[in-house]
Amino acid sequence: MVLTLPETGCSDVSFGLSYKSMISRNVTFFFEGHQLNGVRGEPIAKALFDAGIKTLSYSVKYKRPRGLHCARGRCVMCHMSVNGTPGVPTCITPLEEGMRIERENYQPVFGPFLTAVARLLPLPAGFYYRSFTKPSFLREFFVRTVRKMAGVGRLGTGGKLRVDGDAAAEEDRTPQGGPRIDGLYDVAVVGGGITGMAVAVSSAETGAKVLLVDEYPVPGGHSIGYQSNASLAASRDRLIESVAQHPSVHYHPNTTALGFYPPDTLLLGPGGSTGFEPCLGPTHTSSVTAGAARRRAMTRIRARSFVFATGAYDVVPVFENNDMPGIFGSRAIRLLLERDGLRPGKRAVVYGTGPALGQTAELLLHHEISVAALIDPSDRFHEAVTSSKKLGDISRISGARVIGTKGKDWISAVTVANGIFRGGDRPAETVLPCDLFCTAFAGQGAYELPHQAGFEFSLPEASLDENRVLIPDRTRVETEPGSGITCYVVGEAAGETLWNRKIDSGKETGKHAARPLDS
Amino acid sequence: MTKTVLCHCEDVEIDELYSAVKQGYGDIETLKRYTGIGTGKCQGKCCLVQTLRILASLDTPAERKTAGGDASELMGDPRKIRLPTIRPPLLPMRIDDILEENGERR
Repeated sequence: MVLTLPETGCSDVSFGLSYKSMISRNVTFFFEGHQLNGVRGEPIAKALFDAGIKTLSYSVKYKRPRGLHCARGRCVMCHMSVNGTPGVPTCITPLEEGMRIERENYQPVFGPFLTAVARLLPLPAGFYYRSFTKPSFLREFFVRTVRKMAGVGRLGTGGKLRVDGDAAAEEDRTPQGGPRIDGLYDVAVVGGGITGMAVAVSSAETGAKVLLVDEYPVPGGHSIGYQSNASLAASRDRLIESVAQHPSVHYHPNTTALGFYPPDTLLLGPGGSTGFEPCLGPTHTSSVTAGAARRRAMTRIRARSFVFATGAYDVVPVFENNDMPGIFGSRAIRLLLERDGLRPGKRAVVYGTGPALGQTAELLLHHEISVAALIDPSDRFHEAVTSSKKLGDISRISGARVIGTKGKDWISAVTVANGIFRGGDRPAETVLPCDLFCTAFAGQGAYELPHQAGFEFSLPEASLDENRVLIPDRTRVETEPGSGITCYVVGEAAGETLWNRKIDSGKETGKHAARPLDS
Repeated sequence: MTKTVLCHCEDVEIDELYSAVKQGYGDIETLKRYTGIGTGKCQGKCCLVQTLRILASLDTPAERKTAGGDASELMGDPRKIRLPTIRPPLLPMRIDDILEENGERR
């Protein structure tokens, strides 16, 4: 009945542990009945990729192949059934001995036939509740067939699930007197990335009692994807050290913020992965936390100030066959290469703008992936791209857009239109063969929690449509007039992209958040 | 098969969005219900921005409704965007986790 958030900071994690060695921890697991080998603790999707399995699921309606995409448990394309549990994000769930892994929405017997039919049928929006509605027996048959074809997995209870339908249990589910309060903090920070850590530390330095929750087992957020950036890694490690040492920062890894209930309640639940043991590449040298237990229970907490340092998602532009496996945003490719040591291709095309285009291309080269072309939809490349010596002889196309991709189960080429080859011909449409396609555009700040807390969003015009993202209209709101409860959005969630500025604005916000509103 | 898929979870093609807008569904909430955009497992994390970008680029009365909630609001700030209601949980959850609160099975 009592809450599990410990009152002493960081009691359920041990700081200063290095990642365990990856060597000699080979395990066997089963993929749809076939026995395969992998390394214990690596993401399931990596073990499957190494075994040549790139199609992790099939889309619901047209049964299109889906593979690794966001690499952080957001896009659900890698969801598979693991040991009978449906919907497990295999890109962030660690492999264990004897795991039984199955694709969910695919029937081995009728699958190929249904797939062929579904891919050909023009199924209009909302067809599943507009077609065959009369007579009623046909409707029933149709709904059952559609559900079977969509096949989004079976609920594996494993004997653990108990659903009580009796009246006593129903009553128990709606406790009188409002939600039980499990913790009260001065400042609650959501997101343990660079920004969130900076917020937490600077709040704690003013004497505030600070809660820092992060969905993943290790702090650092997307900075994990920047192992080759020594100065960033150093700043991150300093922040981790401060978080660990400050007694009034209560840091909880593996804890996801599931919703904000104005004026002052935050719902917390288990994190995205189950006891993750990240297997970073050989470049990793810093000390970070590892192996914290997965939080099982839902928990509610209250605070006087909330800071949403929730980071950003990749936004991949819309073009033909944009759902082809082998297409990654700049954040995803960083996580795959630098966190997981997974090389998803050998020959890449990078599509993006600004300095991120060059940084992404340099990262690929660093991991010995050849870059076939750099494509920028704007008229000219950023200085960082033109002046980079590493990118010297890569062909560049500016003022061009990727209009489609080709491939069967994995990308094999991209089609570029209106390209102006530097010093070459001017083909209207160019097909560039590749087995990896990376985009590098502005990320979309995670808008969910801020929106629930009352922030409004605008979609400001940008010089490029691909860079147009929702921006919160303010960085601070009072959740209810006169309540004194304030919420802040900071870091990449507020559109900040530069690491130094993220740290500075995080520190600044931390001080504000810790201060009572009236002072 | 070549398709331009806007919402990856529900396999909603971009043409379906255009045709829905043509049919008069201009508000993000009704578009969501009619086409299924943003109703899949990722709850719009992969497609909401693109949908709003497309709506913003279509200069139709329907789009104006989306952009401002209503036309008069739009007059005030043309950039203001109404997001669909976002409901918890923000990520897919296991049912037995939901049944459990504070270490206690309900």
